[in-house]
This record gives sequence, C-alpha cells and structure tokens, in this order.
Amino acid sequence: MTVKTLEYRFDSQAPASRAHGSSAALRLLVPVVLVVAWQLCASLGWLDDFVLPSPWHILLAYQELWHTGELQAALPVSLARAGLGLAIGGGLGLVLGVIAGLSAHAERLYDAPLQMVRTIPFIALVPLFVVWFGIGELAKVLLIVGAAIFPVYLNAYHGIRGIDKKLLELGNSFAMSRAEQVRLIVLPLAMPSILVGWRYAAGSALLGLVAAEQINSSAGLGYILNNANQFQRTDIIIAGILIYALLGVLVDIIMRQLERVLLTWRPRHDQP
Amino acid sequence: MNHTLKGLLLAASVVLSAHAGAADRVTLNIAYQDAGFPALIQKSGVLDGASFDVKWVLLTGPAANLSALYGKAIDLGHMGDTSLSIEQANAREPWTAQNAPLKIVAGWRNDYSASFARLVTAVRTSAHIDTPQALAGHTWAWNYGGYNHAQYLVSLVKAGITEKDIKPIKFNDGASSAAAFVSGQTDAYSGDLGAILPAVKKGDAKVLLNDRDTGIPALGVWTARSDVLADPAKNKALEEYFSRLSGYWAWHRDHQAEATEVLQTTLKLTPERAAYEYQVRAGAFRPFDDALLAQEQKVADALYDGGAIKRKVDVRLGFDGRYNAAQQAVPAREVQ
Repeated sequence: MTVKTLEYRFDSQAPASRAHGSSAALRLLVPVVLVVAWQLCASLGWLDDFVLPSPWHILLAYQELWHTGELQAALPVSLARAGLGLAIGGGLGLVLGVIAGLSAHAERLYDAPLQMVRTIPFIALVPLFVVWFGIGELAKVLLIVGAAIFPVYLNAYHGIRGIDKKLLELGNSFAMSRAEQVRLIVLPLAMPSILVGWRYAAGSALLGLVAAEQINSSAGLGYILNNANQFQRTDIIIAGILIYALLGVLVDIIMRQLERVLLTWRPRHDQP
Repeated sequence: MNHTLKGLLLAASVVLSAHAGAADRVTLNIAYQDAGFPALIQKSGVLDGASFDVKWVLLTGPAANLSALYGKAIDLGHMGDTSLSIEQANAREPWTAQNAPLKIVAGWRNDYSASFARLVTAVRTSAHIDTPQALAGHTWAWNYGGYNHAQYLVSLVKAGITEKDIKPIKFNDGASSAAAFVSGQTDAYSGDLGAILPAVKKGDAKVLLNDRDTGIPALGVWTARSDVLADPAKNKALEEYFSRLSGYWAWHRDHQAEATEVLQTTLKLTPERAAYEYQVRAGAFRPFDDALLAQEQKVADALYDGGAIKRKVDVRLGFDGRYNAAQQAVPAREVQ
C-alpha cells in the first residue's frame, strides 16, 4: 500500500512538472511569435517606423532612456507616487466600503455622492486640481488617490453586502459581539472581494500616474510618456506603455501572492 | 562682559539681516510647456547672479497654465498668443482695461522662414493637392483653440472655401492631429510644422501655406496675472528677469551645437527634430506694437468668424508691453 502511494506520487509529480513547463512555454509562444513577426515586418520595410516602430527601435529607446538616467530616475519617483496614492486611496476606500457595508445609515449618507464622483474621469480633474491643490506633489498624489479609492470602496462594500445573512444570524445565535462578527465572519468572507478591489486599485493608481505627472513633473513614467507624445517619439511612447504593462503584471503577481497568504482557506483553481 | 555682549549683538544682527535678506528675495514661479527652454536658460547662464530666484514649473498645454495662473501657483504661464483671446471671449464678465485678470507680458518667435515656419497647412503628396482651392472635398486634421485652429480657419479663407466644403477631422491637441496626418489618415493638416517634419522630409507631405501666408504671428508668450504685475517687488523682479533674458537670444545664436545638444537630450528628440527645434526656438522677444496687435486682432476675428470663439474681443486688453524695452524686443524679419 505504501509502495503504491510512493509510486503514485512519483508518477503524478513528473507529468505535473512537465505540464507546468509546457504550459509556460505555451504562454510564451504567442508573444514570441508576434514579436518576431513584428520585427520581420519592420525589417522588410512593411511598417512605417512612425506608425509602429520595430522591437529593435524600442530596445534602442530603452537604451536612450537608460543612458540619460531618466528611466532609473522615473521608476522610483513614479512608484513612490503611485504607492502613496494607492495606500491612501485604497485605505480610505476600504474604511468607507467596510462602514457602508456594515451600516445602512452610512450607505445612505455617502454612497450616492461617491457613486457620482466615481464616474468623473480623473484626467478631466487635472486643471481643477491645479487650481485647488497647486502644482506640487499634493495635486499629483490626490489624483492617484482619486483613481485608487473607488475600486476598493466598491468591492469592500459589495463583498460585505454579499455575505449570506444566515451566517450573521448564526453569529447572533452563538452570542457573538458585533466586533467578533466582523472579525470572524464579515472580514474573512468579504476578503476575496476586497483583494480584487485592491488589484483593480493598484492598476488604476498606475494609470493615474499618466494624468498626475502632467502637473509640473520633471521625472516619472508619466512625464516620459507626455514628453514623448509632445514630440512624436512613438518608440518612447511604446517603450513607456510596455513598462506600464510590465508593472501591471508585477502588481498582479504581488496581489495574487497576497491573496494566497491571506486566503489560505480558499481552494485554488490552479492546484492539482 | 562688554565685548561678549557686543559680540552676541553683532552675531544676532548678522543672522537677522541674513534672514531678512532671504525673506526679501523674490521667487518668480515661471511655467514652460516643455523642459527645453528652462534647460537652455540654465545652460546659457543669463540668470546667474540675479537678485531674484526662479522656480521653473513644467505644465503641458495652455489649460494647465491658465489653471495654475488662476490658482496663483505661478507668476508667468506659457501659452500661444491666441490663448488669451479665447480666454477673453469665454470670460463671464467682459474684459476691460481695469478688470482684465491676465496680460501677455512677453512674446517671442524666430524670424520668418519658409524652412523653419512655426505653423503650416500641409497636405499628403499622395492626395495630389497642389493649390489651397484643391483642398475642397478632402479630410483635414486640426485641433481646437490656439493658433493651430487659427491657421486652419485662415487657410480655409485663403482657399476660398468653408468647412462645409471639406471633411474636417477635429482633435483636442496638436500631437494627435499631427499623428493622424502623418499616419496617412487625413489628406490635410493645420498646425505645428515640427510635428509633421519626418513626413515632409520624406516627401510624404508638403507645405501648402505657412504662417506668413496666413498672417498669424504664432508667438510663444508668457502671461502674468494682473495682481502679479501690480506687486512692486514682482514687477521689479520681472523687469530684471526680462532684461537678463534679452541676452539669451545672442547666446542661442552663438552656441548652436550646445543648444541643439541640450534640446536633443532634454526633450528626447531625433537629431533632425533637434535641429529644427533649435531654429524655431531662436529669434528674439517681439514688441507689442501696432503692427503686431493688428495681426493679433485679425487672428481673433478669424476665430470669431469661424465660430471658435463666441464673442468678439479686443486683443489690446490682453497685452501689456511694459517690459518690451527691457526685453530689447524687435520685430521679426524675413530670412531665407
């Protein structure tokens, strides 16, 4: 019986590992083929370099940005802005969402105004934020706060409101206090939704950078993109967009890891 | 004891006078729409030893500059010379000499040159448009507001056609308008020559009308709030600022390689674009004389006639030539 179990483990792990390897290769196949085809079309002169610069020219744009030190300077500046805006906006969204989720009075008080503000495109707020908050870091960070607050608010609110009422009744039956119900029932059950909100908010914070760094910025990813747009450097624009895409993937990986740590009890679809 | 007391008093007076000196020192918050000019000014050294400090502020587009001016975040905002006409036309209260909140206090441009025009109306060579009249029936990219819009409207007048005779493709900013033209999605374009320079150099596009043909001054300008101009300390600092800057243009002319290099590295320009930007950023401050104001009035009237602004404006209300002497302002000349 023991031997059979061991045999089963060996047999089951090897194909799983092979499957993982081939899955990773499959994921890479399409992007690699696309990049090669893209470079080939550009090398054959089928693509206008202004319309779509070749991958090689985009690499040269990275080299240019690296050589001048702008890329190295931009990443910490932008990530600090996005991180601060995300922390403040996400934190506020979480607090407001949890309170609105738990209290009908709170929901009536501020849900409707927040839903109205949510639909305002934050890029339209740039001139107003300049008037209201000036041209320093405050206006930039507040724009990112505005971008990050709503995904967390909405997901926290809906996560809590979606909890089965019978579970709360069960808490009452066990004579749990309000605080205990929140800690032991509400937060664990709403956590998946809250974390989805943080994932969206992290992406929105990165998007908010482009708008925020229009305001008196001499460094940052948004500044690089805005400057390239002003002077028609499509190679730098695409290079900047790819950095955003990469940051988006990195943020998503971090948030998935966080979900694994915080939601250990939840089954995962990628587990065998 | 006496010596100690004297020493303490002397030290205290030195500290206090230094503090008072620092507090008296004026800081001018000056905006520019890209990092190029501030970098060139720094390189030229014309502000070294000034009795005031300059804090450069980077704000893209006239809207952000106007917001920062109204929000009192800056003293000088950078825009095109038609921006205040639009602002005046959109004002809730009609502007008068007494209540105008903003004034253009400096305007500059390069000398008139066909090769280095600031504004053009261009066509794609594949569209086979050889005269302005032949623009009828074609797609035409332009962007709302500012002198690009004026170039479009006056070009229509020059062509003897109206918007109904063409297929206008409107954009909110010049970069998008130029991108549509360069990528072949429109047959014609009105706006900045620099933005379409690669297409012109490659022969994919050609210039049909430039800013001399349309009579648009196309100045880059600095605009100040009226309360800044009324502040004696700021006024004095601005006088010195412009006096020092009047020396910049000679530096620019005499340091072509250095200035081009600064533009190329600061703005991430291709060598070809950097060479063009060097030329269009040369020149001098221009005087707000009758000839210029008459040209500006014609542009404002063209904007009104074309429906770009809802109210007729008197452009004189938006210009203040008090620094023209300090700027050593001279009219633009025709050059090859």
